[in-house]
Amino acid sequence: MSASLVALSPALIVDDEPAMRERLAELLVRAGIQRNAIAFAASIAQARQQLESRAAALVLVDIGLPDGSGIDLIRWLRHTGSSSDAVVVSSFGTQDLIVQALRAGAVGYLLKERDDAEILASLRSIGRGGAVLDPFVARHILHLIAAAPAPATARGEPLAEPLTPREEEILGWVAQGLISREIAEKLSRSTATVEDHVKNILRKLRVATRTQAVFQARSLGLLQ
Amino acid sequence: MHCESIRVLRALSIALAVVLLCACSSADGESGLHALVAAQAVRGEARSFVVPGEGWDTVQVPDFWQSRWQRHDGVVWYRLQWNQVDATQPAGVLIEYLNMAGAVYVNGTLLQRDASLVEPLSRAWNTPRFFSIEPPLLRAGSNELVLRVSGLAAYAPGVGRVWVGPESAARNGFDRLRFVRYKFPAFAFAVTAALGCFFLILWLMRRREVAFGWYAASALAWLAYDWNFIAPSAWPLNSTYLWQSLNAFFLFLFASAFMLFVLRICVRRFPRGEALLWLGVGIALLAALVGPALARNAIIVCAALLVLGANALLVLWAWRGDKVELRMLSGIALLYVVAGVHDLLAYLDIVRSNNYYADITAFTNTLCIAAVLAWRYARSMERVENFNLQLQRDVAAARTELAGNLAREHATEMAHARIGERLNLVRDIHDGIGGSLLGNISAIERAPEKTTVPQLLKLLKELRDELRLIIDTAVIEPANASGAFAEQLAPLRQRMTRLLDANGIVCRWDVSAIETLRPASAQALDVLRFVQEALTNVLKHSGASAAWVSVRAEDRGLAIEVRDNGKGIGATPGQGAGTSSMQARAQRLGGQLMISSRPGQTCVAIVGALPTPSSGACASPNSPNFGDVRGF
Repeated sequence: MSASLVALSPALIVDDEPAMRERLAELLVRAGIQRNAIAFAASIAQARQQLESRAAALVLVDIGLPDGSGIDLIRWLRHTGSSSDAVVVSSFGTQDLIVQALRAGAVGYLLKERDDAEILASLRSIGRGGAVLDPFVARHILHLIAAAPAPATARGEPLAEPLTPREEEILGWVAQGLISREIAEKLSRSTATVEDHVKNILRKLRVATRTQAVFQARSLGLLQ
Repeated sequence: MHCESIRVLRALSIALAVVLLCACSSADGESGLHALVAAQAVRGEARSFVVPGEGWDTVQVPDFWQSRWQRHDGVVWYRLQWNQVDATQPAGVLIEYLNMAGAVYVNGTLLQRDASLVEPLSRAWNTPRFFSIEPPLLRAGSNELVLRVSGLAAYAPGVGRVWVGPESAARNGFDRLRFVRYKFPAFAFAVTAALGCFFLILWLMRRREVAFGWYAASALAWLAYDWNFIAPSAWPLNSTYLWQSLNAFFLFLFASAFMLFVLRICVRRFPRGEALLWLGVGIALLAALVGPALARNAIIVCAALLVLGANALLVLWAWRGDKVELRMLSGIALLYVVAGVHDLLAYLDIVRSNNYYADITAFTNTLCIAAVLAWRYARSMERVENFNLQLQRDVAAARTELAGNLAREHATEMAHARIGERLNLVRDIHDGIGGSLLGNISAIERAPEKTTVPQLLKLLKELRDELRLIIDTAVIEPANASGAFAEQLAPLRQRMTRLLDANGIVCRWDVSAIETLRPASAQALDVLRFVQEALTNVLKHSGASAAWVSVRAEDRGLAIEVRDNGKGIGATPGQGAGTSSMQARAQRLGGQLMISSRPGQTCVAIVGALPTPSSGACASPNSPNFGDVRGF
């Protein structure tokens, strides 16, 4: 519990529920972020305003916001070229939604119902510059790789870059429910290394603007 | 089809009638031809070709000598004279026939001589002859025509009509006679042969059409008989007697086959009568082979009567029945009866005639019957085609109906599956959240003052964990059709490991051989709940630094084991409730709960769970137990 999330400072919490905002803020403080380095927003509009005036290293975003989906905000962040780490904190997590968020550029997806300790552990991973994946997301990515050429749906777009064998191996472990520490033990590497790999995998899952252009051109028959 | 075939038949009959009429007009009354009637005749020596000097009787041609010289088998000379006014133009001599064979002389010069004038005789009885006589053979004034005829008394021997006149007129007469007596019969012979063979093959291919078979048989027997009209010699026989007898037999054979044809086409059967008929055929053959020459007449009369009878029956049955094709046939049969009566009378010498019409009418008969049979065949083909069409329609209708049924069935199945899934979810909620909710509500109600905030928090967290489990399994199953247990276990594993890790407890998992395990959702949930409860206990109460989880598929069933190195179960009060719920889960899984605990070594396990993974030991997901749900 000693690792700090200083690297993620300053942080922005985007949630329309005051109680939730308070809980998340407390968790961040417990992780070592200064109270005054935490900003709040209750809607996408507010969040944009905040971010335009002051960049944030970490953005915790709820999905169901009064003026839209948190995923749109993440997309906007990617679009503006922001280097913020966006993490979804939602009360529901269907597979579709999680994959969508990750593809839009989120580095994590946390469920509000989880114990504080769990959420804190995930935040720490992100603070270390890594990422955590749910087993079924790992399975989804594995399916994407196996089913090439991928179907032309938003969810099923091909990966921007192929995965390395090591990344595929890690994905396999994640799909079986192993956590980073276990994988690190199996590979005789540090947990941070494994989480770095996971972050790379997520980056490759992301829909890059360039890839999107190529993909659309191909589907329009402009490219062979 | 129906009207068309009648029209075709009518056209055919009219055409044939015209041909018949033309043919029957024969050579009588030829323009410019003069019939020689007065003649003289004398019997001659079989091997002599010298015209006898005396013994000439005055006769009239046409002449059948058996009335004058009964039993005379041999040679008779005929002498006819005519007066040629203008000998500069060629004259024509036309002879209707010589029965059986002969030689022709004019003014002492041989003009023609048949190949065989002794037995077996050449068969010239149906052969007209034409000669063009020119000077110097032709003389002005009296000219003499001498005919040397070889014949057998039994078969109407003699000479037919004789004409003289201008060459061209005689040639025309000859052409007409030759058409009636040779060309047309030969043509009819060939057509009958073709039709007979055709229907024979048709019958061979399709034995059920017995009428076709008898038609073919009668046609072939008729051919054997009909050959008599066009055969130039008695070959392959060596006797005119045998030829004539067998010829009569073939007629009888034809009559019998035709009778059978009539019976079959009218769909009648007379086993005894038919046996009698075939006995008659045997007798006829015997009589033909060894009987006297006169037996031939009896056979022919019997055959003619048989054919007349068959035609009469055909007419009778046709007009009693309602089959169109039989009525058509009966009309032809009537024509045939008339011709047959005439021929019979002619043969029996009651009517003086050397013209036999049965041959011609038999041909029309053959054609018409073939047409009717073809019509019948076409009708049955049409029926088959209609049947096929009907069948296709029926099959298409049945297919549509079946597709509809299948679609309905599929929809019903889907609805059932959906209801089943929903009920499963309801039962999962009932078993999990419902149970602990009820237990805790009653506990708090009994002693509200003793309920502390940590206790309430613990209760709410339990409910939340249970909800998470249910949602995880419910979400995974439909998304991944395989629904493999390994996939359902993974989220729990990750979550619990991370949670324990965060609390300073290192958790190690051993998951093996469960890749193919596919328990029902209720059972999967029970396994997951068991692991979750056990690990929660480790987290909350054990104070352990390490935990081990093992989920293994063994021969005896699934073994689930959770161990820790904490202080042991007995050390913490109020853990009994957790144990009893674990007991219930073990029972539901068909396994056995085993708990062993001492400080530093605690093990909670279920062994032998899901003894046969796919057996009905547990509630099938498609037949949820409503009793359970109602109890909630």
